Amino acid sequence: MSFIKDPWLEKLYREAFPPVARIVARLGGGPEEAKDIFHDALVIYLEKKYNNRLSVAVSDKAYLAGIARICWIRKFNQGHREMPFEPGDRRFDIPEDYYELEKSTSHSLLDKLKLAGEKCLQLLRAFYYDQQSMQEIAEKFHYRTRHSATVQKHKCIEKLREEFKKTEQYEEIIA
Amino acid sequence: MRKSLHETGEIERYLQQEMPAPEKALFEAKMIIVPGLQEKVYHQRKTYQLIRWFARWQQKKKLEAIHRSLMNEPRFRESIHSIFS
Repeated sequence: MSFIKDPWLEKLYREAFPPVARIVARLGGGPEEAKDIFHDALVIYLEKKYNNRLSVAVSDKAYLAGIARICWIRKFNQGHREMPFEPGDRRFDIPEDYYELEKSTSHSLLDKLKLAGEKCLQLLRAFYYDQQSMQEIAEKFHYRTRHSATVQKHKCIEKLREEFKKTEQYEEIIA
Repeated sequence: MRKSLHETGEIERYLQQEMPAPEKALFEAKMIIVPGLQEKVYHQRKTYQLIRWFARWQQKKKLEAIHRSLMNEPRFRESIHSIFS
């Protein structure tokens, strides 16, 4: 799969990965774990950024290091070490459902739904995850008007919702 | 807009907490009365979660590609290896 080059992200990766790798090494992890933790932290950081939930007083590298520590605790080290931050420090918190995707059932569900409607998933991602406006989405996905893109968005939600229901029923039968 | 699409939009406004209190109370009453509506709300909530998972999965693929390309640079690769040696 090819990706559009993103120089900003590449620069951030280049600068922020080594410090996070050092943190993971100190916590006893190896290079693969460092990469995984860094990717988790970066995905969460970007979500915060797009949702305007970043504090300007904290640098991007400090954010990534802070989130990476929390990710490490959640992923590998539950409850074994002291929390590195004060309770109530929400700057580095990670979404509740973040590590649920690692469960195999979530993965198989996602795979089935990708087959059912990747184009719909792309459109819905643009709206709900990337926070693009319906006008931008209409242009990107070649809809004539904002209204027809909105109708399509609802159709997609409906389609995925019904697929989800079917898949879930199927999983219940085979479980 | 089709009736079902109208309903989908209504569920969305409920889940995204965009309904004013009286409308929300009315919708919650409807969920008890209308057969199947509660189930739709449940599955639609899960659908939004799935969109997030899909987006995160795509983001990670993009990051994997950046990782591979940076690790192909000898200096960067060495600087990372030296941390773990």
